[in-house]
Amino acid sequence: MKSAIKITNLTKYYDDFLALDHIDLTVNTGEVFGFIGKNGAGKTTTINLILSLLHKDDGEISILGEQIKDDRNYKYDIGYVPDVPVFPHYLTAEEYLIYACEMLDYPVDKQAIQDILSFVGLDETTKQVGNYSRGMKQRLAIAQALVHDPKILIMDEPTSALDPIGRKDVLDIITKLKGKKTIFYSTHILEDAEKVCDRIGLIDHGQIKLVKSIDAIKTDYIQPMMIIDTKDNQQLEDILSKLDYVKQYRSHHQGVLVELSDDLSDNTLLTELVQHDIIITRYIPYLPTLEDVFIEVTS
Amino acid sequence: MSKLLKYDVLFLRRTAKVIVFPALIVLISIISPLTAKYMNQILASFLEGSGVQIDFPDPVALDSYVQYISDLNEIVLLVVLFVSVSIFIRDKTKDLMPLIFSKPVSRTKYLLSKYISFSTLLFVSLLLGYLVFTYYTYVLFDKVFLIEGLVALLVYFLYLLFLMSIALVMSVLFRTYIMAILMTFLAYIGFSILSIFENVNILEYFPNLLNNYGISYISQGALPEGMGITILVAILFTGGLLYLSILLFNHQEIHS
Repeated sequence: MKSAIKITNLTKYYDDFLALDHIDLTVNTGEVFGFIGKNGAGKTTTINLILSLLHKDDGEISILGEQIKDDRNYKYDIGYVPDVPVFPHYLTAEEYLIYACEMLDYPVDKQAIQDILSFVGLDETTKQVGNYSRGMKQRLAIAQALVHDPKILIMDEPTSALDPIGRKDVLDIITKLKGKKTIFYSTHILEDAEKVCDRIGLIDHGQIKLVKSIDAIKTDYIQPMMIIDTKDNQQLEDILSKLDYVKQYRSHHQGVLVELSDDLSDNTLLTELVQHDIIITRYIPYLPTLEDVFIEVTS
Repeated sequence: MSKLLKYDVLFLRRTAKVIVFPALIVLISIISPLTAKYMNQILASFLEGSGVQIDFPDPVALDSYVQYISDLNEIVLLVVLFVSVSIFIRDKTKDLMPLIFSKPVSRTKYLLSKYISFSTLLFVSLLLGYLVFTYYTYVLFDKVFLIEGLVALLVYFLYLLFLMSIALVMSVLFRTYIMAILMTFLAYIGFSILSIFENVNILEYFPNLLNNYGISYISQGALPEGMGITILVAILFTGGLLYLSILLFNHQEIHS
């Protein structure tokens, strides 16, 4: 599969601080790639380098097979959504999209502009952007990134400053775009990445720690763990403390989270508990979240 | 470039600068001839009964031009410095740049568009003001120096272009409005101090002397010695500073 974005040995220093440490990354055409990491891990720096807003110290970036050099032509294929979008306050949404079209040498089609605004759920187009809420600005940011029908959409933490409803709306938009565009989606909200991404790349301290599909991550990092809830969890913990095949256990909001030895079948513990006459109200396998994987990899 | 210019002009329109600048200059164009005509009478009326006897000469049309250039220098020049820095640095301080340059926008054209759009507004405002000034001067003094005054005005405009190019360099160099305006003023004051030493060979053609030449040209009716070279030096300085700002901006990182 042809890569939409290919990053090789990318290195960036801010004075003496190594912000990106020779990173390699490939985003395949058509996928939603989640670029996750803590604040300050190097996500925005990577994006700014792709957009040539910053100068790299070493390495190469290719967009749709073409290496980025001094020309700006590759930007015709990219739509960019910043984390905190800022627009000229005196323009309306429609005017800003016309501006975006003109800067991109893209034909201005007012009907197409209205369609894009409807697609992102922005129907208020006569109000000046200065009067927009945070969520409306984010929708407009997505609209301006899509207005020239780019092949690649680069989104830099588009949900980080939104309320839950705004976040859901943005994720819904990404879901609608899935399969139609290559989306490079940077976020530190792992729950969001888990919802919409095909693959993720995990960056920490300027280094790529992991690049895998969501499914592969869960398979690779899955542990034999159970969530157990009983009428008397103190009694449960007393029993667990005496079992050799229980590696560890801790309280969980749904009961007690129990980590078992790798080679144990689920029923062994269940049988044991039944024999102790304990009243079990919950006994379910625990599926690790991306957050669990993130904590494990970065620690 | 024309697309960028269109939006820079739209910015000037929507932020009322396209009204404020012509209005300010037209106001000065009305007040200056009136001040030149009646200031002596006003001063004389103040001195009446104080025992001080000063004979004020009757004002002439040239006084109106001197007053006009002086008022432009004192008021418009300062406003131009403040506003030009604010226009040039606005996208940086408002964090508008990442979205702008995520698109294939030429940084050179971007800077030039801002410079040209504001310069054009100033030029049109000055021309409009000059028409009003000429009318009032004629009404009050019955005489005008139409061509000479226009040349003096163009020389003043060149001086503004020079100062705007300093403002542009400072706006590219610094990240905050305060620092950019401070350094622009320091540069302006520095150049003004240098103009004191006009007898020093290398400094006698500095752009700050342009306004003196403008007034001299009106009073003499002929190009003063050194005016041509000073104009050339001002053009070279302006072009050089524009080139420097473009060079700096093209190598600058844009942080979001």
